Amino acid sequence: MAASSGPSIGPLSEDAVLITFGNTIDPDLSAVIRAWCDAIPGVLAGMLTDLVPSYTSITVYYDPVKADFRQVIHRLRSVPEHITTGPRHNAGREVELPVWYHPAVGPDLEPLARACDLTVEQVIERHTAGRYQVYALGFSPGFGFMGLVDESIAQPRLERPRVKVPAGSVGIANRQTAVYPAASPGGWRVIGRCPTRLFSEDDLALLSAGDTVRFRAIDRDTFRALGGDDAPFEEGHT
Amino acid sequence: MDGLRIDNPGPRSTVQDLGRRGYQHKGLSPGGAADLNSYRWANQLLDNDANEACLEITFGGFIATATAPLLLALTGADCEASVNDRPLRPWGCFFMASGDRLHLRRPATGLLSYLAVAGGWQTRQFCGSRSAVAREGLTGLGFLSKGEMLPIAEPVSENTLPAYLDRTVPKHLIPDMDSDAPFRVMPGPEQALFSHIDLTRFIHGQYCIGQQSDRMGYRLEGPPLNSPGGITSRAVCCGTVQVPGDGNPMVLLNDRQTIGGFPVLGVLPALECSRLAQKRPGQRLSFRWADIADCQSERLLFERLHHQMLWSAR
Repeated sequence: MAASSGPSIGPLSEDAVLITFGNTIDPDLSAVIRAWCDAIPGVLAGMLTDLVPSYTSITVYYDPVKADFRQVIHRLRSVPEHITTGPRHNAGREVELPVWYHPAVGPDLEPLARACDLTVEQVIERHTAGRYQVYALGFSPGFGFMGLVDESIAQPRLERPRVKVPAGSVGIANRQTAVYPAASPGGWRVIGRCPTRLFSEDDLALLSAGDTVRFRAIDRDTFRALGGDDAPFEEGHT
Repeated sequence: MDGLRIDNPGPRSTVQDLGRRGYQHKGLSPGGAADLNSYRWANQLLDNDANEACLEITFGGFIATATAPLLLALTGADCEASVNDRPLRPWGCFFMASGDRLHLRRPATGLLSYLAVAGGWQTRQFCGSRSAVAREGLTGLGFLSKGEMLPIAEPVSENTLPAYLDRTVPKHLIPDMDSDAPFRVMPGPEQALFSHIDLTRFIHGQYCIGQQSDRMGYRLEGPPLNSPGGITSRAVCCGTVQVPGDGNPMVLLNDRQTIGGFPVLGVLPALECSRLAQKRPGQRLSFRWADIADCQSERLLFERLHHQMLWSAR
């Protein structure tokens, strides 16, 4: 949509410019955003300090001593000329994440199934059937915002966020899904736990914006064999 | 290498430099000194590089002992600091012999003090920065603890001392932490989605800094605004004034999450974030609109001042 007519580019702060490609989440935008992210470092060589893609936008951080916002915006307008267009040239990696879907580690699995008028098995089936785009990383190191979850299992965030959600918890918030890389407060509805490390100080984040993720249901033994911590979920709200 | 032993870290003291650049797309918060102005002067006093790690001490109450000869500088909130009960001049350099004890009391005004050492504190570097973002729980990058040892690069040589010990920041360049000048704010991407009435409320209203305010962000209580509702989540920069559903604006600071989903009414420039970070819960503040070009000019003047700063030799 907006991608064909070009994104809107405007100043955000004294050291940041916002590029907006549209207002609605659109899986087709992922490749466009990825292509821009690949081209921007060349266009802003020597002044770029950070580049943060999200669902429909890219935020470009730069050194205000090296350039002012007009220069940065002017250079960013030339990005389309620098994009090498090839079929799926800018596609991300495919990542499979195993999940033990169980009430012991996913306290919202049964309530969510009831709210959706589905069985637990159907919820698992639909969550594992999806092929999810990683749209952005944020919230905490390595936390990937993924979508879109099938509408039949989409449920809003909890009204009262939990004080502590264990590392590996797999959550749903509306049509988004994610895995908590580390224990943290959180309001997403937790339906299972993933034994894969999503962030380490050596390798940083496992996921990148533009990657594609599939979830695979595993049992408790496999979860433990893969290094998962099956300590039961302890409730606590803010 | 020896350096400084922390006897009492005070509440929420951390090591900070200019922050972790280039990793926000991995979800890592940049962190960095919350009061850029005071932080830069601490390094400037010692001819340090602009990015050397300093201690950011929150609300004084800090005690530490030198385990090597140290050349230090202290800026920011005035905590009536003393070495072995001998008072220090605020915003100046000082020397500590091995065994000397540094004591910071509670500041009468302001919140954050910066303690720099010649050559910078050699604490753990991760992804190009020594800045601690306590919430992220990364190894060696949390709040300072009692008994912790902060290493230095190399011991100070006695013959370099005289050039430094008289140095203090010129009075007219020391910020007035009691200033109630309105905070300049640049229009944000969703400014146009707020009603005229709400924009008037925001700019003419007085806000009180909420208790749940820290390096992540400052919560403001005052005339509530009608939030135009959630936006598609995107990166949020330092100084972002976002308006969640309850209508109370929140200013995001250095330890913010990198992605946010609330409408952005405005953005505070870095030097205004510095000023805000020195305010305490319960204090009042107001805003006025500013132009991006003016904010960039002011930042350039600040950078130029530090770049061209020459200390007069005695």
